[in-house]
Amino acid sequence: MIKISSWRSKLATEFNKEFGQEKYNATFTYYDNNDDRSGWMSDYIAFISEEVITVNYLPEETSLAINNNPYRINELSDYKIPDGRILIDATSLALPELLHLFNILNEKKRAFDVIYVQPNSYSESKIAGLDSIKYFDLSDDGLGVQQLPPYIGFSAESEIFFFLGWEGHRLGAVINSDEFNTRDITCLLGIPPFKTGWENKTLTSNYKHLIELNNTTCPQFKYAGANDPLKTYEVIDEIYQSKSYEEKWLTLAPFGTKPAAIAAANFAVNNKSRLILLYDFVKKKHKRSEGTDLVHLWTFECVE
Amino acid sequence: MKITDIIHNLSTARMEFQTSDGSVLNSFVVPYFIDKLDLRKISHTIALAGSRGSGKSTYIQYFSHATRFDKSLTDIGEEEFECILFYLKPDIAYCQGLKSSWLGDDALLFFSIHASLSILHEVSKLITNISYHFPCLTTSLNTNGNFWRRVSTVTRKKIKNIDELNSWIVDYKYEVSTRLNPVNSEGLLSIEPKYMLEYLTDALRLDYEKFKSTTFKVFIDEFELLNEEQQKLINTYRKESNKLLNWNVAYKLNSKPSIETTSDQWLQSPDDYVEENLDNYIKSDYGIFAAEVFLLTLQNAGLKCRMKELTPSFLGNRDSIGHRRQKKYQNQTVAIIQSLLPTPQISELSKLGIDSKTIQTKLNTALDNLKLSSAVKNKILEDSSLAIMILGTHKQRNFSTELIEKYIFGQATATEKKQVQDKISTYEYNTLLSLNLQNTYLQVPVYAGFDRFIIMTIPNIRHFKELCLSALQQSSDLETGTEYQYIEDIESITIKGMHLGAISKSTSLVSEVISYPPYGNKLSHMVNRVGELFRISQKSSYQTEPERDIFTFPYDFAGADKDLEAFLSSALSWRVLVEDASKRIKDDNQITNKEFQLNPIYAPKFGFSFRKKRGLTFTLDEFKTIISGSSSDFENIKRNYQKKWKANDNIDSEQSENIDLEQSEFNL
Repeated sequence: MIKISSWRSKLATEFNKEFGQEKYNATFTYYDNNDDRSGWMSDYIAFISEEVITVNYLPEETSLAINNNPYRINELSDYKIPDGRILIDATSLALPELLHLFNILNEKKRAFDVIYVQPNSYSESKIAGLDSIKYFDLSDDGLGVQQLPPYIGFSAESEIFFFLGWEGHRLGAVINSDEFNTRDITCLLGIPPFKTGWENKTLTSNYKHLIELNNTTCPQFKYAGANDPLKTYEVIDEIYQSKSYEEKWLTLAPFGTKPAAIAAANFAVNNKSRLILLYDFVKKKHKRSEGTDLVHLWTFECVE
Repeated sequence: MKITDIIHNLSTARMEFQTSDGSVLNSFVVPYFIDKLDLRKISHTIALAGSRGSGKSTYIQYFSHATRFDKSLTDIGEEEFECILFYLKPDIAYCQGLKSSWLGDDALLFFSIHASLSILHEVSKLITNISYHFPCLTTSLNTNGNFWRRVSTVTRKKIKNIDELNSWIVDYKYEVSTRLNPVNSEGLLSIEPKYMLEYLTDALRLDYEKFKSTTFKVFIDEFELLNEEQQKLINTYRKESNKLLNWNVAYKLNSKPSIETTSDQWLQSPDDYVEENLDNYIKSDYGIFAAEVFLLTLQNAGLKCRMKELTPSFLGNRDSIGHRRQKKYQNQTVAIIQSLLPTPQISELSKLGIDSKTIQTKLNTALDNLKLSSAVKNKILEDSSLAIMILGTHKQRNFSTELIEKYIFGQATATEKKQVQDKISTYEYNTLLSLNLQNTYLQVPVYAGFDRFIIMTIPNIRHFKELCLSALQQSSDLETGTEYQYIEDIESITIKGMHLGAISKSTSLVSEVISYPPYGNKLSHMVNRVGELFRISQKSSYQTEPERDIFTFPYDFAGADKDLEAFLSSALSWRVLVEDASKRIKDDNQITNKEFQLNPIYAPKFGFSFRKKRGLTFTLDEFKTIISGSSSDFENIKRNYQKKWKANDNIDSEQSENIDLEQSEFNL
């Protein structure tokens, strides 16, 4: 079992001065060069980490490529984690990579830090008008929504907990796929958001789909700070306990903020039964965000 | 019942939300083609292909034991035992997660267990349903004992009745669900779906006389969404089908499921199976069928119908088809729906248009420019269709005032008269579409009416119902709160209401495209960008190609560009595009043999025509930019077409986006 034992945050401009002395033996990351945050992260990692290890989840092969060496997900225990202090760059890594790294580190009883850089803003869609399809232009087509091995289960008997993000069509994909039971759905809204007023952007991006859901069901809403994995974990746990009591499964769809995805991965590591994880493998777009804002550093420790 | 209650009850147009026990009794209209496509009578194995929303699942469920032996039926004939159909809809998300790259050989083991448990559940429901009507079944099974003995062999647990079987299924499903994280297949039952079903149905034959010669058919829905290994396994069963046990599948039209089996003997059509295209069957009587479906939906929402034949049991009974084919019945049925959703003729739309100040001003200017006498002008204004045609064509080089004068004063020869009438037929509707786009506050209700709803949705019953629902949401009764008991009493939806309802539904369906995996973004680009180009073409006041809504591009579909072909397959499978063989072959050098139309339901969102009319040929590069190019690359293409269509003088795309529908000139 892993849990967050400390959480420190500073503006990116001050972070180096404050935490730059904390060196790491290895950092897990993925070089994407998508935005200003990627640049900041690669500079920071180069400064504080002895070794940089790239990680990339390969959905077709159900394996994790670590420094380009593929490990099937049920052979991940074969991977030897470098000795010393470990950092995970959650800014560049997506849910599947975070999940499997957390699982490896949990299995090997290793403490680790997770770093995440908030952006100043996200790229808005260039299509104007009330009827624009997307309000934000953050990602390109992925493989479609899928259950993420090994968190596989009967979808008809589970309730979805969907983390709302800024791309409403990702919720739309779940609704339109006919493969998921959306009659029982709870949505997570990141409040307080990264910046004041951004919760409205989340609602604007998703309102058409929420109206559609409202025709067939009555979605429940839960709230947790957009950059608060601790509160998000609590909310997930609350719903999970309630579903377990009803002998139902919980399907987590962490399509919202990265700190919320970190909470989902953390929760999944600690709760392997009656839990399904969904992911759509969208491809991040170049220049999807601008600037750097707060940087968060969470320390995870293994507990019995 | 208030309109708001009706709308609330109708808002789930999809049947899947309405059936929990698998029976579609009283919620299904037997289609006219049923005798040609009787799933229980067809002797060979079939693959039922239908586009999204065509009603595949409901059609199969009509033949399934859940409907045939529904508990609310009072009289079930012996012939129902000739063929018994199991409808299986796998848990696709779960099945897709069972990847062999992760589970190795266990992937098929878990799939087989899932399929077997689903089949066992179906068998259990079959016995429950039949026992309700034929209690002797329970006695026979208990007395002869073969079935329960074999069930116990399969489950490795002593099972003596349905309750114990159902309980075992639930328990075992739970047991299996705990074996994936972490993976542990040790000790799991190795049940093979086909052999298990063969084993159990043979036992049913031995134990119960009525099953002696029964053909058992299995229909697996959403087959295209299973992964390749799973499809291969099912294909092996399809290949090994026989008269006693027959395996069939259903999938989205234009999807390309595997035809491989687990051996090197692949499926071959028509030897091993026949693909039946449900869309083609539906198209033939779509109008009356859609009307009946919507009337049934209204009845299921709580309304009654004065036309005494139109009851759920009548529409769901195939013996009624003879009566339903009668002209009198069809006219009466269509009259009910036409009363609710009246279809204005194009000439009526022109009349409405002429009544608006905006068009009057435009027309007067055009007639003045043509230097026509007052007498001629007055005569033209008396004929709205002629006036609208003139407004749309007077800038054409071959426009002849002389011909118009002859026509209105009855001096035209038969050929000349036909010439003018043809021109009205070609340009009248086109001009109304253009006028709507050229004038922000003008909304001639060009999409209103049952007949247009039919053309826009064929063969998608779901879209038709959604359009009707969207029109109902514009009902003036929403404010008055009038109570209704009978469908016939509901006040007609205004033509403006229907028009706005169509635009609203169309807009919502266009915005849904982005969520169609796996090419949602590209599909959305294509729909919005091609839609924008057709809108520009339609908006142009100088048109050589009226109602442009078809496109093609030079590509031979011979496999040179696999990504492009995969994208187009997906577009067709989601029915974002409609494909046709090219009828516009201009010369021998033309390499393409296909032409495409955006789904006509998308036309109201952009304001162009839903009727299949004129075409446009993109270069291959242009088409690729449309689907995956940047906004600025597309802007270049757009500018080129604006220039080509001389549309730059009146193109203001933002303006039309901001049409305030409430402020449109028509308050009809």
